Amino acid sequence: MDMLGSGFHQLKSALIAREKMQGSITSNIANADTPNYKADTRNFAEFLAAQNNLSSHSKASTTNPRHIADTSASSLLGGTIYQQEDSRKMDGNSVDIQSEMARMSENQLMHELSMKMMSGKISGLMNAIKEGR
Amino acid sequence: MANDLLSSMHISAAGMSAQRTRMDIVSENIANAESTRTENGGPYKRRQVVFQAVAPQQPFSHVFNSAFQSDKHQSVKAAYIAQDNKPFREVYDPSHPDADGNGIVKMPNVNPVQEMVDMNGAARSFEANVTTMEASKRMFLKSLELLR
Repeated sequence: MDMLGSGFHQLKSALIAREKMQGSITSNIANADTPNYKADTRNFAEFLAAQNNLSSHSKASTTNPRHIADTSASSLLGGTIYQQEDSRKMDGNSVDIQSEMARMSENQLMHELSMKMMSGKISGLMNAIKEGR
Repeated sequence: MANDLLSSMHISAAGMSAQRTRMDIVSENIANAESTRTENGGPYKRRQVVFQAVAPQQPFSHVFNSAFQSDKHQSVKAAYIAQDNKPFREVYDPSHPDADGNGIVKMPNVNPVQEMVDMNGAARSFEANVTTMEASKRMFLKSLELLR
């Protein structure tokens, strides 16, 4: 059934998480001048974990607090931790536009990388289907 | 899946539109920096935009999905335009038609330097939103390339 392997599903989750993260960075940048707006500082690992919980395909779920969590995905794909900083601006806004821009570039590059890996998997499968012709 | 990128492009667009409103108000303030008469009487009062974070307009599918997931990204809008009630600038110019008995003319409470700073801020934030939108678009195009 699983012609593309479990890595394909991991890549799918990673791509969806990257897109969700892009949405969060976008709203931080759009609200960079909104008074009292608190920046969404969730990192990629959190988005990926949320995505994996939603489609618990390829990840062991922890139903008991004493279970050991499967952290393989988050250690493989990203995992920079951004800490919530206190607002340094007078208007209560906590967006740091430079760090948001840096996060966005990183997110974009990682999305591109995941996309390359995915199309590599697809072209491998196509090669097998066409018997290498 | 694609909804996230499309909605992030909409959020960037809302950000750009809000920054353009801010720019409009800045130009209005600069243009009226010397206006001593208005329709309501008295000199021109400086105006400023107040931004507000709002939940974005979303298609049904997104609303349906977000009932199950709690990641709601926030859009932005120019909520209202506030008037600045700082005291007016007073200039001694007895020959001015709007001068009072002591020869004092009340000029608008617009500080051109402050407006210039605000204008630069609006332009930079607008650019940030443009960059974000380009990034989202590139990610979307990369997804389309998978189909080739």
